[in-house]
Amino acid sequence: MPEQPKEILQQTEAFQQLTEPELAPIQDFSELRSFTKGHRLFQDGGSAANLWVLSEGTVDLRFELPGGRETSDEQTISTLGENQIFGWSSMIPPYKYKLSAYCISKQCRVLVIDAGKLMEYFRAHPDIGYRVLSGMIRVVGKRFRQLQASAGQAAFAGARVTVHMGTCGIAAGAREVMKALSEEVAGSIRQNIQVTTGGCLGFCRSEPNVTVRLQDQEPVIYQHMDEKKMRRVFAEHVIGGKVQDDLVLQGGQSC
Amino acid sequence: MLKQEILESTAPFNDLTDEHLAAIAETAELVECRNGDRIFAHGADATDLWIVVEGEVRLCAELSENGAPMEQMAFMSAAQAFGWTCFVPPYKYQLSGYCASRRCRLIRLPKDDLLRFCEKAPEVGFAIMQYTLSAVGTQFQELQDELAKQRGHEIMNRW
Repeated sequence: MPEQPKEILQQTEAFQQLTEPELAPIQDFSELRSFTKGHRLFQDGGSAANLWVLSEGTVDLRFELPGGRETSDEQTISTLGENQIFGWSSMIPPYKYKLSAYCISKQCRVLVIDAGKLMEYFRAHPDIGYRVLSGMIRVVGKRFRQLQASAGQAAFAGARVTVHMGTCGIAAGAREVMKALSEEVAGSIRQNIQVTTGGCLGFCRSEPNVTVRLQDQEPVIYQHMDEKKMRRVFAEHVIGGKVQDDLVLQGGQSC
Repeated sequence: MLKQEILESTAPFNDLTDEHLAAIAETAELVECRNGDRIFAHGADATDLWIVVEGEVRLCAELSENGAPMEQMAFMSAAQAFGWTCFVPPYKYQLSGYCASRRCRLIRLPKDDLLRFCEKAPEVGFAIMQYTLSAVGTQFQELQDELAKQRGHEIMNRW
């Protein structure tokens, strides 16, 4: 788990292209903060002064309803996973947050960047600003496409996706699978998709394994998963309800 | 070739030097259309960035993910730059754009020429990307608003 702001930024798509000396000054106006489940990081309509990077945990972006009612999963527009940037409104006039952000995992760890100072840094170093903003356009563009795609799909009442992250799973690439899953979930407006991690299933040679359980259906275990297969399972099974038979674990060999 | 005066009077080109304006004007083109004309088509190769000089643009989703026609979702956009998916893989227009006012005047900027120029002059590249990010963010928020509105109505109807 990255400990320093610089390390967190290096893992985000928009900042990945910067060198260490280019990233270093950003640390001076960034701060690490932790939140617990249910805590609101910022509120819809509030002044958007910061850009946020999620380092650990899961964050929901939700719209608020009139009357200050407590929000629920039904109001979730996007769910964000690790290494994702949010709070774009801090880069765009009129600099007001358009949704509220809630920590929905046990704990969330975020890097909070002063957006005004970040833009000042970019203006002083336009070559850096050009590269980062080009990266941000790609990231927001991708999320736009995912949001648009998931808006037109039929909803499932509930799904739980477990990435098995024992030592053997991690060695086989489970972290990359989790990252791809988090990105897909973040871009989806589907409600009630729960992402969890699990231990080794005992089928080490078929790792990384992923279990998909849709409401009222038997769980399905997938084998030899990678980023591409995870995205396919998410689109076709989790969202579309169609089991991907060719990826299903068949008589797994134990460790 | 576009007249430099038009370029100069349009954000994000207001503060460019004559030399930079001349370089961009060389490959840029002014496109005029009338109410209802399609400016770019959902699913087509995104080869150009479009900047509005005058008029209003309506965005419209016309194809599903697999390319089949779908029930249309359309909204007016407050953004002033369109076709930004020319910077985002797989470089296809993600929505169609239609002229929604009596007439529209737009600057068409071929992506390849623009990127080549931005690499050479990063201060201009930064200004263009800042403007484009603002347009992307505006359209993203407009799409979120549409979805939140639909979802909010569903929830409130159950109260």
